[in-house]
Amino acid sequence: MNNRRLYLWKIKIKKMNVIAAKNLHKTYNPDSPIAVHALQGVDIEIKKGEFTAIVGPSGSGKSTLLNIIGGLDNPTEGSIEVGGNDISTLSDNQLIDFRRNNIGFVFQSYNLIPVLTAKENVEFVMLLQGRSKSEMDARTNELLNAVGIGDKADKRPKELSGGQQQRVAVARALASKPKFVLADEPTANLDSKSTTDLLDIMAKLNEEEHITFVFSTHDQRVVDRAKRVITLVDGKIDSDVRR
Amino acid sequence: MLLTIAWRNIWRNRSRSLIIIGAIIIGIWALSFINSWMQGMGEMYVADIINNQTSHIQIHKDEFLKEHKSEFVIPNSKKILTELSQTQGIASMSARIITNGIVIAPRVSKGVSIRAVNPADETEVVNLNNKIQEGDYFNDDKRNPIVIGQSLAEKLKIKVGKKISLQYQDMNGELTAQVYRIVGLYSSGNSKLDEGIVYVRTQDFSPVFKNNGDVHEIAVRVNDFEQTKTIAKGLGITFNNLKVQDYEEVMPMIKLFDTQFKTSGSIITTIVMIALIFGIINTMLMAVLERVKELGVLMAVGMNRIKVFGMIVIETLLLSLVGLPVGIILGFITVVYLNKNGIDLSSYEAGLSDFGMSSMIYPSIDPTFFVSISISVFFTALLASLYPAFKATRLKPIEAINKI
Repeated sequence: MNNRRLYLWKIKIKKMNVIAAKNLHKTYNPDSPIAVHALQGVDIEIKKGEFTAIVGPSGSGKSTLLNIIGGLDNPTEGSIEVGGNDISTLSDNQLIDFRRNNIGFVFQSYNLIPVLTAKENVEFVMLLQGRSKSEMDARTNELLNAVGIGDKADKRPKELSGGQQQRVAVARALASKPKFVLADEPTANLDSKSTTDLLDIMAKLNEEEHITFVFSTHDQRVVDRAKRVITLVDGKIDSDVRR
Repeated sequence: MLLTIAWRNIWRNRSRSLIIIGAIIIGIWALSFINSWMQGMGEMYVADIINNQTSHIQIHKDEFLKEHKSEFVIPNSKKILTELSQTQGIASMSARIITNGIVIAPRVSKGVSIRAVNPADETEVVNLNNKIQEGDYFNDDKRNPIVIGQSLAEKLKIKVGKKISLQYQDMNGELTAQVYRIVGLYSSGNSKLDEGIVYVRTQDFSPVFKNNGDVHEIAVRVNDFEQTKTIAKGLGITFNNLKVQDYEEVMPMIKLFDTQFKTSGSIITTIVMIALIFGIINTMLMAVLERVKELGVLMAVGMNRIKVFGMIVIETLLLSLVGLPVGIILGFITVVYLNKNGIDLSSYEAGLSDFGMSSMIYPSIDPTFFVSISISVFFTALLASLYPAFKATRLKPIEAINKI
């Protein structure tokens, strides 16, 4: 392959990668005798449309990796690109802006804003983006229906079950049209049926809308549904299996 | 949406919010009352001084103010009185002969200031006829009637109807004496004043005093109180060889009291606002610390620190502004009621009288007070919001989210 073709091919690959992490290191308390090397040279590329589970025992660096991918933390060493943008050197405020427009979050504890209704929780991120009211209304209705709780739009989180709240969280994560959705133990607080329903919704969105999902999970049911499973052990990738 | 979130957040912990709102309501209510009390006392004090002592304006020969000597009369007093009667804005005037003397009762003697007045003119200026507690006010055509203070009568151990002797020096410096019959005892509300001043009729006093129609003091009452200083200034120009003083110049203590009342009101307001600041800071800090996780999530999903700051500030302002109108309405109603009905302090009458104050206080308030208190509460809340809002923005999303 000549140099030009190689260059164009690399550009194409770069464009297909939603997440590209190279040689990620993260050390906590680096100058202390009890320094913790949470990540020790992790390389990951996640492409658009992937349904990836990151697994590993406690202390493997799973949460640390997710925090860095999600722009919630910076690596000690290495680079992390999201949608082709290097976020490893962004300031706190720049990361906030970046997350708003590029990353959707689903948390273990749902973390909806308790004083807002389901509809308002989904609209909230779009409001931060400065979208028009008509656009917000249309997208909110579309998303709440897509996750199966269109009839509960006016309910506050305390009036919804755990499963319903997590569906709202998924809708909120998708509201900003992010490059990918980061889900940290999304099924940990759900019963079996709610877990199955949630995974069905996410899988459907993945297949039909090509939305990229990255999970951190201990839940085997999630692992079983994932198309790619990355295993972390002691801060390093132990295995990376595509199905 | 920030406004919506802030408003709803206030009611998440209803009891805590109601406590701080209650504190604001009570604070404003109390301040309204205290300031109206101060203002009412100040106004009553000034009114009492004007009505009982100084009137609105006084005119003297300059030397008389430095040395109260009989020779320092206002030259051409009659001409000046005529000119004053034709001056716009002047309601009434009273010409007074003033000299020091001794009142001699059967058992006790005392130094006094003798004021010889035209009774009808005097009532127009200082309402002395309304202060009579026993006897009457020069109503009978008795020979040589005298009206003395009730507290003086007690000191002299004498009653209405009895005779006393007044000893004094006339205009020529000759020692002279007259016998007067007590026809009335007055009480002005200032017991010290009442002990020191006795009133006789000019028609009885002047022939013996030999002042040839000239007087020592002209007291003036104006139609519009607000015009007092303007009229006094005008009179000062017209009668440039005389000393024309408004009531504050006659009794500088009035201005001192007025300033003290206003300063006290401001100090109390400041103290209450400072207390409110700390109360609000405490409440909002608790609200922020309880919501660390939620604030972390907000920043995680993309709410920037400026908006987080703004949300906390708005929440604090809304919390404070809920109580503001209620406090103002309660304060206003209280002041209106008390202004109409007054506060009876007759159990402290003796003490208040020593300061020349009435025992019935009618609180009043300048409407601009409510504007200034609203602004104070707003800025107090704004100031109080800064630290909790700053704390909120210092949170790191990842640490906040992981907080249990």
